[in-house]
Amino acid sequence: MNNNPPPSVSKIKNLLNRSADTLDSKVLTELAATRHRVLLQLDHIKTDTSGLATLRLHAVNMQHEFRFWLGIMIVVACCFAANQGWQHFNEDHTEVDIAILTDELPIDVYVD
Amino acid sequence: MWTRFLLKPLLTHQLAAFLLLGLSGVANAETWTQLSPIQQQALAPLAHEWNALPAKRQQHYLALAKKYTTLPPEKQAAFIERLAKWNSLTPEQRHKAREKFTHFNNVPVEKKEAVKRMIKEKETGQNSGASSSAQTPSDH
Repeated sequence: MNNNPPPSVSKIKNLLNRSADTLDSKVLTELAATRHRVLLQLDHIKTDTSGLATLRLHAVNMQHEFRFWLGIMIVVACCFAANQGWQHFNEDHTEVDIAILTDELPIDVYVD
Repeated sequence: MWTRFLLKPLLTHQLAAFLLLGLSGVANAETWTQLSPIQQQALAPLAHEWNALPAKRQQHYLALAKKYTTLPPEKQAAFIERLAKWNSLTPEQRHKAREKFTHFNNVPVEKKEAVKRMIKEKETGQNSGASSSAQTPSDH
């Protein structure tokens, strides 16, 4: 069992560079072409990913906007309902208050 | 995530919406001089304290003043006579009075009339007792 710690990244890089110097030109050309193809594929994936990210951002913005307007509508609906309830409450009291204020009996009869 | 995307924008815009709607309520307060002559006539007992009343109370009394115009003259007189007393009650007393009045209205007519007669006799007895003690000459 090898108990030595694994080599560092720079060491691996140096080893690879030294071994690449011993390769013949045909192999080096193939390696360069493969590297180029892989990099192109990576760029393509990145573009796709950023497109997806843009779409995701748009979706989040739309969700945000939707939630904003939904929140506004809820608030307006609550205020409208509260106003209607207050008007109904007020109207009921108006009739009763008029009746008390014009009743034959003194107000104290109803207060005590 | 929900807090960031839902609550924060909602709270910000809800505050703006509440402020706008709340201001509309505050804007409903009216000064005495802004009232019409008939409103001032109906609410005359409250003239000296009208401007200090909360807007909601003002709106309620203006609703009463609107009904006042439909009353016959004797009821209009009773309205004006009792309004100051009504306004001097606490909200709890007014609430209690409304409840009592509503319950009393549900009592059968004969019983209601009997109670009214009893109360009026008691009042008359108190009034005549007060006037006779006023008329009694002192011994010294």
